[in-house]
Amino acid sequence: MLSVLLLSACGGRSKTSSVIEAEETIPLRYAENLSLSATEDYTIARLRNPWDTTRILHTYVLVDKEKSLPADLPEGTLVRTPLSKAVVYSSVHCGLLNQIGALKSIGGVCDLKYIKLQEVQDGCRTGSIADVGNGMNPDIEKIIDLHPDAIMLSPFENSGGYGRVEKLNIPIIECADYMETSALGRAEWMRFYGLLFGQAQKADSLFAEVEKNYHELKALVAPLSSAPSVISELKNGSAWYVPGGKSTSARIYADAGANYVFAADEHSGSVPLSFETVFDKGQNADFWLIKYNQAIDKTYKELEQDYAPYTGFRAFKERNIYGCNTGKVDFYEDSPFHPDRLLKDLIKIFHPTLLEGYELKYFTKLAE
Amino acid sequence: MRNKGTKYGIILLLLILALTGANLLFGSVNIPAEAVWHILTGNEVEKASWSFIVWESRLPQAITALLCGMALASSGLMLQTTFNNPLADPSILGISSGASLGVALVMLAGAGTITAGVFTLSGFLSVIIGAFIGSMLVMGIILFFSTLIKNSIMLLIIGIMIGYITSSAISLLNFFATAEGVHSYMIWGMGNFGRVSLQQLPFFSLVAAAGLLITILLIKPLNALLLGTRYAENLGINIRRTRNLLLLATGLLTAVTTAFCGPISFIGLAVPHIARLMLGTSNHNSLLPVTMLTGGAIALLCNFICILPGEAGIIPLNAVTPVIGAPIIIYVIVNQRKIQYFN
Amino acid sequence: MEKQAVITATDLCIGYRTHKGEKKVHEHLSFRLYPGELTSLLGANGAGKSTLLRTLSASQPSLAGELQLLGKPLQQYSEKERSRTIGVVLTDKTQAGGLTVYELVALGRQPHTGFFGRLHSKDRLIIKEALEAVGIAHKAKSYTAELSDGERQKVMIAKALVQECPLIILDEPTAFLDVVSRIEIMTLLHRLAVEQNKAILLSTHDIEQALVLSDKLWLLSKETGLQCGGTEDMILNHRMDTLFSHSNIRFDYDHGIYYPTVNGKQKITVEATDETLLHWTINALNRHGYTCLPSEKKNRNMPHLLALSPDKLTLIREGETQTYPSFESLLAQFN
Repeated sequence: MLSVLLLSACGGRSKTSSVIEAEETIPLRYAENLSLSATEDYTIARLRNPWDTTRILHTYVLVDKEKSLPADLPEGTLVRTPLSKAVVYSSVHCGLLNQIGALKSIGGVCDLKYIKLQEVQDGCRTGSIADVGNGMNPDIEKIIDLHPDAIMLSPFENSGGYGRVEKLNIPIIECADYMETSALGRAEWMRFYGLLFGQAQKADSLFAEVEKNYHELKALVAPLSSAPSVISELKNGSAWYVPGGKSTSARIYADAGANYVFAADEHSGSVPLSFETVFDKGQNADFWLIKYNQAIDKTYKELEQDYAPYTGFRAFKERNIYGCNTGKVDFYEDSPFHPDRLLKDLIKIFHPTLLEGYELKYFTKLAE
Repeated sequence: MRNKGTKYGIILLLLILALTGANLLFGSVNIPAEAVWHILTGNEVEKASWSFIVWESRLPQAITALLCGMALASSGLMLQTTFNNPLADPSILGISSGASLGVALVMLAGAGTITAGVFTLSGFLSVIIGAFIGSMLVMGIILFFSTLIKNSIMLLIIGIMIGYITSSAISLLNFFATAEGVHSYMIWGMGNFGRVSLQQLPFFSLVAAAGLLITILLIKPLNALLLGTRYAENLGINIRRTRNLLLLATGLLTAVTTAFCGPISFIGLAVPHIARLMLGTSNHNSLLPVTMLTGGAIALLCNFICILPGEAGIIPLNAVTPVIGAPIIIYVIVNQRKIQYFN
Repeated sequence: MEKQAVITATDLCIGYRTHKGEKKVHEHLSFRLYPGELTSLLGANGAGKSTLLRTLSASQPSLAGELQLLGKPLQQYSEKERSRTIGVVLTDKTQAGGLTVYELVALGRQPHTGFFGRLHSKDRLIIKEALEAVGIAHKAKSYTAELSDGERQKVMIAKALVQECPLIILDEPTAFLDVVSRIEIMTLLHRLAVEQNKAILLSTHDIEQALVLSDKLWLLSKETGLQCGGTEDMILNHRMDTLFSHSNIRFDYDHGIYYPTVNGKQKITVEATDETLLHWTINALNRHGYTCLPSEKKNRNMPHLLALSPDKLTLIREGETQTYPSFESLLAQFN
């Protein structure tokens, strides 16, 4: 027992000679920045850098805790699996872990106020899960005290390191799932997380279900000849940030059988445009989807007060605006790994005659 | 000297006309000049969205920029003379900090909503009201102290201290706020002439006009104050009443610009110096009108620069104003020995 | 011919009110200030000159007693009435460097002009006359920042003139000026007082010129309070002696200046061919620590100096006679 602890304690960043055993690729169909392959002794996860695709973001070498450490391991961060006490920064991943039955492996969380999962809230209250504070500036002492076996956080461009947590010799799992540009691509990362937490089978079958649902829904709209046009988001300050043409949002609109007004755009992130530009192209869009975070739901009246020129949009005049109050709805926690649910909502909005009896999960029609 | 003032006044009016035209003609969407002309004269054009864009977006933005520029420049001039401080600007009395705190409370603590009893407000309106209440409160505090304290320097220090306290409060609010709230607040802090809609323009114009009117009434006392408070008193000026009127005018002008457009830097500080350098006088009879017009012109210019990238996007306002304002201030500081109004 | 006083003070007490109570600087002062004459207020630093001037110009309230301006109590004057009655010239720094001389003087018309301070032809005439009266009309278009200190003082005086006040109060108007400017300003003030029948009161440390050009002297000291009177009367009644309580200075009645008391250890008798030569000989000897006695006291135990002319100075000491061609050479041998 002591030797295992010692080994895992100094195994955080062990780099051994790069020996290439015969690896068998685990095929991933949608995720572009993740590749998985396995040998008898270990599994390798290679994360591609989403901001510079010629480089690798991180390589992880997963070795089962029960097995002894092989002599020659390829280069990469060693992670002893299954993880049993991980610090999870994001509520999105907490939600996923709960669904693949790995909830008890969560040892600590950040930004507790954003996590709506009751079990986590309860765990923090009773002390079985540690609250390590702010994701931007976590409580190092609490993390050390916890002795976690991994830290799961979201990487960002030019982050310049993660601060003092890097020095703790605990494997940092850079969860770059949010940088995928397709909805299924992002969801597929759950298979990697399944491997980490020893729930590979459950994760795989969960993903298979999501994939199946997604394709079935997509097939519903395929035969349709007409596609309504759609714009999204609101003006914030002097810029109206719209999803780029190659972003996840744009693709899911297309999958839902709608014409995204900025589909021709080449960006995969958000693009700041002026009101004029959005108005010029999107004035006659059929539908308008907005996401916001407020104590009370937005209304048409409030939109008018926010910025009177909003009333010039056809979607406003014909009352076809759908809003999602992310303060009340678990949009960001739920949809990343269940794009099928989001797709269902979108299809119901764009093609009301389909999906009889289905009630929207995330969006609601805006009230007066 | 009067002739020089009139000459510059006419030049500036023409410049303002030209810049307003530029702001109407150019934008992210390419609308041919003829079409703009047709739209303004009430005729039909091929694309209905163009008419909407010109009337509902470009025109209100240009007028807002013009009024904001006039308001901020006048405030800056009044403050520089009254407090005998060439580096004074509308933020020096903490009034715009008060507005910022009001907005921070709404956006960061109140999650974008104000609730008073059964009355709930959300969105932009709550931001405006938060800003107004914040700035009026600070103005009230400063006015209160103004009636107690005769020494203007003390008042200045109180204003600066209020600025620091509100800064610290805002930092705290930011620290405990959501990522979205912080982002919203930051965006608000970048300044933007484009939030005032055509419907809100009359209210905005009214308050700005009221402040500008009071400012014009203060021309005579401001000239007397150039000699210092003792001489001014000897000339029959009631220092306390003048200062209170000044605070009221500055309060209104700063409150309305900050509430609708966010905190805008440098215009209040730099434009009075530009006007003084152009006219070569400290006489407010010509200096004040020229300052107002120059402020309007500079604001229109900044607005134009912001929309210059066109299709490619937009530049935030507070990134442009220092580029124009800072060189002027540096020039003044470096050349102060040669500039007569510093002696 | 009885002149009407511009200021009449009875049993006046001046000082400060602080939150702790009153600080009296002077009490039981009674005096009058008349038009058509120049009055100089003299006194040591800290004697209370500034307090008195501030009280008279209504910058600060009196603590007790009566103070009347043109027959009406000062506190009953409104701001506007005051601005038309009292003009001040101070040593304050201004921000007015960017105004032309004309514009600054024009500010003095504010008590008489309307809302924006617009000038009418009557105002312009008054300004023109004031500029000419002080002798600065040729610089009307220059910036005040470009003027010398003396010229700037003239501008401030012109400003006070256009206010058309019967009373003008100046606080050390000739401080920092060279002697030419000092005389120029004092002469100007006296002329204005007489020609325009104004009451002009100024405080100054320039005792020389004050005695020459003032009509009235106000002597203020902590010990003896305020004494007022005609210049020559005050001098010849030995009032200048008690003005400064310092024991180390004396007032020279012949020459109208203060000089350090002589307590030279050594004695010498002096004889000269005329008053001027005698005066300056004594001056030189005093400076070198000699007490000078008149020639009647001549005796063999004391040195004797006979000054025939500035280049023929004969010193008789211990029986030895030596003639020197200049004071410099004479004094050199004393060292």
